[in-house]
Amino acid sequence: MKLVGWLAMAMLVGCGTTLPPPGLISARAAFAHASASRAAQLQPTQVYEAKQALDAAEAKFKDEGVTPDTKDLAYVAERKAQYAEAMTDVTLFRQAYEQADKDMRALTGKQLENYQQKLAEQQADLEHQKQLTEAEKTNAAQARADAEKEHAARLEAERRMKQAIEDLAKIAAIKEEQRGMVITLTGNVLFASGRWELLPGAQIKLNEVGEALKAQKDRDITVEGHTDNQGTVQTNLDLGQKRADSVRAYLVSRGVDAGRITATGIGQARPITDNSTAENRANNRRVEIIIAPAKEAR
Amino acid sequence: MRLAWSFTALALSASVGCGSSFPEPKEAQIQTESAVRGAQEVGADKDPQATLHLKFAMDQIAEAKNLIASGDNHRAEMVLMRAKSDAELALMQAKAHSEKADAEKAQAEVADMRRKLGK
Repeated sequence: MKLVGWLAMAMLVGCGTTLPPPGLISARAAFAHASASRAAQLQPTQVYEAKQALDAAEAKFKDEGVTPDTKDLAYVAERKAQYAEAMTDVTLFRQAYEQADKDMRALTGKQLENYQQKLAEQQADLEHQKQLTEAEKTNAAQARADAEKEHAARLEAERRMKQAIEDLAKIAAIKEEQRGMVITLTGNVLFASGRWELLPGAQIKLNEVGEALKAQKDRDITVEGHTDNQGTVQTNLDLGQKRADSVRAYLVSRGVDAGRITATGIGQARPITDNSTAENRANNRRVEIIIAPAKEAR
Repeated sequence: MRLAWSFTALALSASVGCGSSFPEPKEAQIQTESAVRGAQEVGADKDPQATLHLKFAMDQIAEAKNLIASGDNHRAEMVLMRAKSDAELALMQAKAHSEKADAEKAQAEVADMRRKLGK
């Protein structure tokens, strides 16, 4: 009986000093690692299961020492600790993915906002361009209308000029020269001999001339007074000047622009024929109204 | 549940002895093989660690079948328990591998978008 007791004690002492199998040591380390990691907070159930598995392995080792079952349980305990950490990794990677997804949605929203802002700016530019185009169209239409109006006015002026010249041709000689259109009025019709005041009949003729001249707003007009060679040169020059002045004054009174019309005394200097006969001298006594060519034509 | 199953197996082991009259662990085999298929479906072959544990699981299932054939049902059940823990670990490691790839891809896209927006 005493021997049995000693044997039992020896067995107990022997079991107490048995080293744990490497698998159990690994399982302990794996569990320590898992319980110190974020698995403890994120996967407490799995860590708890790993702890139970380790406890089972420890109990088996305590009860039976190093047996195949102890090794199996230690193996399972190690895997369960690793499983808890792998599940923690899944959770952490999932969280990282969700954060990235959230960031991407925020950035996409920002990008969309940028696109919308650019689009709004482009639309504003487009609207501005459209308005400019409309304004240009309006201006172009106005310019066309102005040009047409001006053209019509020019045609009307030309028509009136043509009509006036046709009317003038009935009462005066008209000819085209280098210096312009020359309207020649016979002196006998306009003035009494040696005088420069206009005769009443002269005014009727000059009214026709005035109407024609008013139609020529862009042309300069010169009134020249010519005489025969009776009397002195100076006397004839003065008489020519006075007669030209009289005609100019009358035309201005009829509405011809004073700034466009000048009066010049020529006297006997430029006869159109010799003064040998009374008829010739009558022809030399005259007033010439020269309408210069249009300014753009010169 | 798994623990309960394990402890039941242990209790049976202790009471019956060395598998002499221990029942064939059909349920454990079904569960383990199911865990292996789960790991394969998740893509355990794409992660080295998961591949290794999947191989352990498959080798252990083969070992358990041999043990069953030789009549050692108790050892077969214990080996199947190891195999199942490997298969489950392989499945979770494969999931972690997949989640990591997804997260890294999403983070790269965010970084790319930030570069584009000049932030």
